[in-house]
Amino acid sequence: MRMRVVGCVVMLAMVCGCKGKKIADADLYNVQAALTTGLPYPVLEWRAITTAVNRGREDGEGTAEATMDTLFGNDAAVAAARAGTAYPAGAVLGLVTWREREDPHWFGARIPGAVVSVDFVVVGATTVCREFAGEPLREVTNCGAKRAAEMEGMKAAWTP
Amino acid sequence: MRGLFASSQRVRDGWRIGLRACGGEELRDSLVGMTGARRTLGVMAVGAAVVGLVAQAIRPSLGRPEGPRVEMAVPPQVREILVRRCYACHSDEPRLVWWDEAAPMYWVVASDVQRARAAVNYSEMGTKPLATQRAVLFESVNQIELGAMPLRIYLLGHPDAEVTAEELATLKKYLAPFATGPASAGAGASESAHEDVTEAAGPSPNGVPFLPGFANWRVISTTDRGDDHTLRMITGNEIAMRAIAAHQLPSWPEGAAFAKSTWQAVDDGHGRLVPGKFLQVEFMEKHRVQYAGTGGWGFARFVGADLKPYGKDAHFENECLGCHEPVRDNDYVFTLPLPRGSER
Ligand code: HEC
Ligand code: HEC
Repeated sequence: MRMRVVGCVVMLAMVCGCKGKKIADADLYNVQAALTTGLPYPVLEWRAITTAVNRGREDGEGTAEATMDTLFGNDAAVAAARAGTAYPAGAVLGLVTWREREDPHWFGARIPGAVVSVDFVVVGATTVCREFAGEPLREVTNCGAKRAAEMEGMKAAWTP
Repeated sequence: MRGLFASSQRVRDGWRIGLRACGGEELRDSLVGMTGARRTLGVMAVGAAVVGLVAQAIRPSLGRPEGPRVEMAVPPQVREILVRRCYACHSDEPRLVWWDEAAPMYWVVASDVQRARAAVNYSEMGTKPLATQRAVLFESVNQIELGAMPLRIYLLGHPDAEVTAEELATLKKYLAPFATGPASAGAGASESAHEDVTEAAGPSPNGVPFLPGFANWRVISTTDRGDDHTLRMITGNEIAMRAIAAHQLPSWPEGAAFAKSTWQAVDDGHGRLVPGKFLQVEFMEKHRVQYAGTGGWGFARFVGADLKPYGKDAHFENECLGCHEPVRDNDYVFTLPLPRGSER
């Protein structure tokens, strides 16, 4: 009986000893890739339309200029993108571009690193493109018709 | 025999957790309390010796498994590392040192070898398609890098078995995931207009449900996979998104669910990789009690445009759990979610 109790205590100590273990924030969230305040739309609350990768120039070690984008849209934009129709007035697209970084949990994968820019295309009588960059994010340019056309041209990733 | 293996596995898991976190201190404190029980110990020791001798007769066989034997097609410097560090358990040639040969140690080792072979047997890997061999090598490197292989408990008895930093670098250099782009350059982007399928072609063999609407969930993260030239998007249901915003990780709440959609990466002709063919969607849904056997998560995978359930039988989930095991401290979740609540 005594042995049983001692044995149980030993096992319990081993199993429960780790309860207090604290994991650093950076090992739980992708802290580097956070969007700061300063955007006119809640882009991460929107649904995604597609994602894309620009491998850039390889520097042998890896990720020199590689970026990773996700195109988000408000409801009107997502509906049009998935139906493959033109974006109606009121549709807003948001393209977040991150620098790529190696995935600390998987050799062979890359994940979002620091934010490079966030571009919005606001579809209307005159379509507007607005670019945000820096930390905190600030409006830097009116990104122009070419960029807007590029973003509108990104096709929705097909999902059953 | 089965039950014995199962319980030895659980004890071992206890060891693994205990040793990893507490540096043995609690253990020492509890052992001090044992001196008063010395007489009882003596009686038990004699009993144990007798049982120990009888136990030697019980020896599960570690003979050569069936099927054609073909080694992997890898350069010698890669093979050497695997032979040195992994073949003891993951091959037809289990290498046991003398203290492995006596029961009950032998039972532990035999069970390890059998389970290891069932997961990966390098002696037959050459019969598999090249893509599968490559995937196994990537999983191997990642199990090493995350400290899961060789098994921690095994390293206690075989301290010289650990993979060195140089060896790991050799393996990584050989695999070079981003050295080449996807083969399907110039292919068009994904299909566009489509009907939403809200049903899978059938249930997952382990009974974990298909979760319709995952394409409308919010984005947790994306990954660019150089090992198999795919792009992936990880989305989460409301419960999961609230847990991220409320900073609750790593304990994901009951009902939290993830979907990971995987597409072939294709070059869009402008130097950009975009999602091409839809390959599969995978789910993890948290129900602590219902899925207690798989870390509290229900795993399911549905393959192709017709969402065919993956897995010959319910055992497929061991594959999922096995590969997710090294991130158990993160509640078996690989993905680092994009922080939420700070933007806007
Ligand atoms: C002491 C025996 C032992 C050694 C040595 C060992 N493994 Fe394992 N390995 C196992 C066992 C047991 C499993 C099955 C784990 C399970 O079922 O939970 C396994 C599973 C795996 C898996 C599949 C993941 C899974 O859990 O399903 C990979 C990959 C792997 N090992 C790679 C390696 C590599 C690479 C090495 C050498 C660096 C190595 N192992 C050395 C025992 C061993
Ligand atoms: C060879 C290793 C491996 C196997 C096997 C595996 N996964 Fe994963 N899983 C990963 C990695 C790595 C990630 C991180 C995202 C990425 O890059 O794909 C991941 C991510 C996920 C996610 C998103 C949540 C998270 O943990 O990041 C789900 C859901 C998922 N896997 C489900 C499954 C299911 C279901 C199975 C079995 C049918 C499975 N996985 C088998 C490696 C694996």
